[in-house]
This record gives sequence, C-alpha cells and structure tokens, in this order.
Amino acid sequence: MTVAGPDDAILTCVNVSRFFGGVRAVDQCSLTVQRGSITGLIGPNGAGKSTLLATIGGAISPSSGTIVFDGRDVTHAPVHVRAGQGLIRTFQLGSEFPRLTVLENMMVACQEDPGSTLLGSLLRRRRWKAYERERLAEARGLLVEFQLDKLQNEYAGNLSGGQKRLLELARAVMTKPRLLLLDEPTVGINPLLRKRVLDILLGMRSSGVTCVVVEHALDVVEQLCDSVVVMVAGTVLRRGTMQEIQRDEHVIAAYLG
Amino acid sequence: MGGWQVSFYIYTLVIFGCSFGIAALGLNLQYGLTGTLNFAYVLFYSIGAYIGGMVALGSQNTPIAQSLGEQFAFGLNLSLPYPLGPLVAALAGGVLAALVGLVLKRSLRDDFGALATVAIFLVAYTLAGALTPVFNGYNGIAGIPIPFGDQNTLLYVFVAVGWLALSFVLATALARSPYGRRMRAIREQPEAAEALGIPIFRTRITVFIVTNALAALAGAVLVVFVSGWSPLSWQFPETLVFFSAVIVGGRGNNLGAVVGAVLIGVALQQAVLFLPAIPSAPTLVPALQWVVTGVLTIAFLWFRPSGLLPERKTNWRSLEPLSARMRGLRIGDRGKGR
Repeated sequence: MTVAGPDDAILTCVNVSRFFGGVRAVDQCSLTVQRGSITGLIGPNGAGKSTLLATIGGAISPSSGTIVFDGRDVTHAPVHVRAGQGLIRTFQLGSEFPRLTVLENMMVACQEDPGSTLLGSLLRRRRWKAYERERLAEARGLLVEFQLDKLQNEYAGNLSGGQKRLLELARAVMTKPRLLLLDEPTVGINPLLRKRVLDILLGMRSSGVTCVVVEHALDVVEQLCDSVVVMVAGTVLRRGTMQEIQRDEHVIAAYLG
Repeated sequence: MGGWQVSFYIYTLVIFGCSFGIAALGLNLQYGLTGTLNFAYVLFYSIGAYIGGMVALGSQNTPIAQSLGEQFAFGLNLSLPYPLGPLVAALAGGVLAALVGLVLKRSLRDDFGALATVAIFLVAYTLAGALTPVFNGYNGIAGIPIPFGDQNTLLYVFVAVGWLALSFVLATALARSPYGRRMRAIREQPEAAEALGIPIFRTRITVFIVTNALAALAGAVLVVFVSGWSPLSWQFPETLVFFSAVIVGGRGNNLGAVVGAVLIGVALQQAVLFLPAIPSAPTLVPALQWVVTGVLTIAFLWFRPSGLLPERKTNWRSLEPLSARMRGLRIGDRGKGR
C-alpha cells in the first residue's frame, strides 16, 4: 500500500502507541524524519525512545498508529522486509554473531547476495562468488575505516565491548541502508574512536543516508544532529535544533534540569 | 567362520556408517549450523526407512513374503526401480518436516519448540505402534529385498557410499556458501540476523525440510539392507546418538559429523560387543553403549564443546576463481589475501 507523505520525508510516524500492560511506553507519537538528515532522539530514561525505535524497526509492533517508510506503509511489515527496503536498526546491547569472524559478520549483511537462497547458493556459485569478491573488498575497506581490519579473522565474540559496537555499526553500513536507526551508537567507544564514528555518520549523511539516533550524550547530539526530538513519558515534548531545545523551559524542566 | 561372513560383517559396518553419516550431516546442518533443536530427528530417519522399505517390498507373492505368511499383511505392492525408493523416502521426510515445521511455527528455535519436538515424537511413535494398518504397528515391516539382489551386496555397499558422498558434497557446498553463513548467523543471534534483512523463519523452515529429508534418505539407505523396520528400531535414545555424533564430531563441521557418526554410531556399538558378557547381569553390557555415549557427550560439552573437528572459519581465498588461486600458489604468496 502506498501512502502519500511530504516528498522530503523518508519516515512518518502517525500517532504511534505501544502499551505494555498498563504502561504506555510510547503514547501517540507523531514524527517526521527528513531525507538526508540526522535526527536525535533524547529524553530521560523510560521516555520510550528505544521502544519507538524498535517499533519503527519492526521488532515491536505498535498497539496503534501508522508508520510510513519512503511512501510505503510498513506498520505491520516484518523486520526483515523493512531491512530489505533499507530500514536498518542497531541494538543497544551487542548484537554481534560471536562465533562468526569479524569479516563473516560483515558479509552476513550482503543483502543482494545471489547465494542468499538455498538454491542460489548451490546453483549460482559463479555469480555469488563474483558478487562476494566485490563486497569483500568493500567490507575490508569499511573495517579499515572502523579500525577493525587487524581483527578481521578474529571471532566477533572475542572483541572488546567498544569494538563490538564498532563492528555493529560497520555491519549496518554494509547493508547499504537508507535509514539507519541507531541506539546509543557511541556508548562504550573511546573518545578518539567516537570522533571517528561521528565523522563516519556525518559522511554517510552527505552520501544521502538518513539517521535517527537515540543518544544520551548531548555533546554528541549537538555535533551530529540537524534536529532533535525530546521525548518524555512516551510522548514527543518538543522538536527543534539543539540550541532551541536547550533554551526551552519545558525541556529544561523535564530533562535537562 | 567363513570369508563371506567376515566380508558381510564389514559390509554391515560400512552401510551403518554411511546411513548414520548421512543422518549426522543433516543434523549438523540443522542443529550445528542453524541451531534448531529437534528431538524428533529419528522420526524423520524412520519415516524414510518405512517409506523406503514399503516402496521396495514388491508383490506379496515373492518367496520372502510367502515364508512370512500371515505376518505379511502390509506393503503397497510396489517395487520401485532403485534410486526412486530413497528419493521418494526423502520426499516423504521433507513433507513430514514441512508439516511439523508449520506446527512449530515461530518457536522452531526456542525452548518451546524443542519441547514440542519431544511431544511430536512421542505422539508419532505411539501412533506408529498402535495403527497397525499403516506401518504394521509394533510388529513393523519385514522382508524388504536388498537392491540389485543378494548376489550383489557389494554393489549396494558402493551405492551407499555414493549416497554418503553425495550428501557430503551437498552439505559442504551449503555450509560454505552465503546461505551457510546466514544459517550460522541465525544460530548466533536471530534478532540481529533478521534486522540485517534475513528472513529467519523462512530460512529455518527451509533448512528444517531439507535436512529432515536427508535424515529420511539415511533411513532408506539402511532399511533395504537390514530388510525390516519397526518401532524398536527408532526409540527415543536414537535421536541422542545423532546429537552425540554431531557434538563429539564438532558442531558446524561436516567432516566432524561423519567422523562422530562412525565413532558413536558404529565403532562404539561394535566395541561393546567385544566385552565379555556378565552372567548375573546379561543386559548390562549392551546398556554400556548408552552409558558410554552419554558420558562421552557430556565430557565433550564440558571439556571440548567445539568437538573433535571444530567449525572452520571461512577461507576467503575460495572466492577467487581456481585459476587465480593456482597462480597465487605458483608465485608463492599463499595466504596473502586471506
């Protein structure tokens, strides 16, 4: 089903709610994300940021409301279908494949692999090998960027916490996403690498990738985000640039203190 | 003891080894690579044995049938030309797996799914024993002729080895392909795999169908040699033999699975036969087979969980065309492009 939205919006959430028993984790949230922007999602613990992100990604289905991704109603689409359309979500906790090497982790993200079906993997060997040779070079290049290249044949389970976060991010980039949903991407990453991650995200924005970032570190939000959405108690309290948000008395009262 | 008996003993070992090897390969793909816990595995092996046997039984006027007399109240009056029997059996295994997979649905991986397979096994086992018209109940089916006739047992031994080789090639090609990588990703972190665009349910159920079809093929390879099949042949612990084979051999390693199947399914069973019988406890020695299997499995889970031959990392050089790899070897930069 195709739903018309503003031309420059890649994601539109209309009155999205998600209740867990009596808890209104997300309550009538409406949100528009501009194509090619980085939108920050901030708010106190329990504000519903991660739940909203999981709802957009498809891991949690909304109790009510509509989610439109790039003109398509994806409210009830399974996670892998959304991912196939370029809507990729990363997780708050490590989600690496521990008993796969770093490079294998990267190659799992090859979505258009001719060998990704049972028959394709057996019958189109020449084609998937050619495809994978190409993507392998790309994966190695990304690992250099994320400073993981020396670990490419190490099991991902043996990496440090920060390296796992980097790997997850690199893997998400490998899917060629159009909208990245990032849940606290810089947690556990040392300051030098954090700068690098921010540069990579900004670089991705200039190549047309849209990001929604849940983040507690306000300096990161300030450097990264074009617009900021403040959530409190499951609802959107304010939306604006970081400067506007920092001056807003409601936001100060509810979150910044 | 004549030479014929010795060679028949060896034939028996080889055919058991091949059959268990094929089944272990299937379980390795299903459990070792994809992480699906299926405690009804021997049910699929068994449906292959039953169907493979029934379609080979032939008419009820054969000498074997006449010698069995009244017990011979089963059979389809079918005698399919050889390679068809095991193929039909594999198909039956696949169809049964599709039905079971749809019952399990999304719990195909988690604890509930594993428990449900135990329940499904018990229901199927009871039905197979009680429903006489289907597989002749607890008496089972008997009198299945060996393909190519009694004079050509050796030929059938080679055919069994051929089935194992074919299964091995298939399993290896699958495990080393992008699909195999996706199977392992699903085993490791299903949610993350799905978030990267992998349809985890479709992948799991496809693997479930194909690997259980392999189990059925393994059953069909054995049944025409042992000539009969009954519920006594596929009790619950038999599933654990296959799990032991995969765990001891090395989860995720196809060669390991075959080695494990030969060790646990054939060598161990035979070794126990050489132990002296204890007159005061005649059932103890045969039972030792189970004790040793269980202890060995637990020992491996504790001290060497990756098994004798651990799962291998991808060799990325295999992506390059053979000619390029040969060239690399000649120049001597082997391993450069790992």
